[in-house]
Amino acid sequence: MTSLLDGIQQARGSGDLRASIETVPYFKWLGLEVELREDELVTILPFQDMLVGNPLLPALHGGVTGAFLESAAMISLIGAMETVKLPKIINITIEYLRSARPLDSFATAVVTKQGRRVANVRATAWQDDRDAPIAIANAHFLIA
Amino acid sequence: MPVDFQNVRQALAEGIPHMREVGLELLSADADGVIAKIEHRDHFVGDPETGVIHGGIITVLLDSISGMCIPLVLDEPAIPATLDLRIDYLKPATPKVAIFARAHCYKATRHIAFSRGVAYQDSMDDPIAHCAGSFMLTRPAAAGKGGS
Repeated sequence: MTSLLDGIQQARGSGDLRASIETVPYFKWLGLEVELREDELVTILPFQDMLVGNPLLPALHGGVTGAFLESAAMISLIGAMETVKLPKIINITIEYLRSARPLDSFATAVVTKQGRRVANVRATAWQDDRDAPIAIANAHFLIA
Repeated sequence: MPVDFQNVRQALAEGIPHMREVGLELLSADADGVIAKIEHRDHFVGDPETGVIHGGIITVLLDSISGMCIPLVLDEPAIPATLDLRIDYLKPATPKVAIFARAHCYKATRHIAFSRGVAYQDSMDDPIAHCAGSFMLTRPAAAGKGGS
């Protein structure tokens, strides 16, 4: 079984991203996918009815959007560093910019600063228009 | 605004797909705050080596009740839209144990409201996560005029 850590770090070669993502039960349950697009890890949350938090609009649950950004931040961080341990999240600030509609969502993240013990990661999520993000997040991870 | 607790509890449990899916159960809701819990399920695990649940489930729980606690302190109806939510993860959750959370609105102005909350397992005084949220309020009378 490919671990999340190994799978993502080997993805730049020909690692099996799907298998490594599915080692995390929560990612598998959410249906998360990860693709390497032009040297950028893109985390994908395919739409499912069970992700809806406001059936009237309808809109994705805000907590799901937050969980998605946190996951994308961690996945991109693992991809960017040569870590031997899973990063542990310290905190995250999620800023909601637009209502997340019942569509597939995409997210990328950049490691803003990587120190010896802590990494700062900024993640952005969008749906049909990358220039109109639905939410952004800033997170700190313990990497020591 | 006081609420009919049983109606709200049932409406959330049945009417909000993601809350139904994670089994979010509302335990109390009044002007002092909202308390809810999510029972452990194996597919919530984020670290297969330790069995600790993913922070995303804590985010879903805290986001849900942070939004819910806002209208309960307002004098007239308003719909809160989350501007931001900050979550500090204070310690790992104990595997296979239910997570509780409490959030309350400590300040509301005409347009903006602020909340604080904690997620915990054994005791509210020993939280696993802390959160702070801010919300934009839309009053029904002002709805439809657009803009934020």
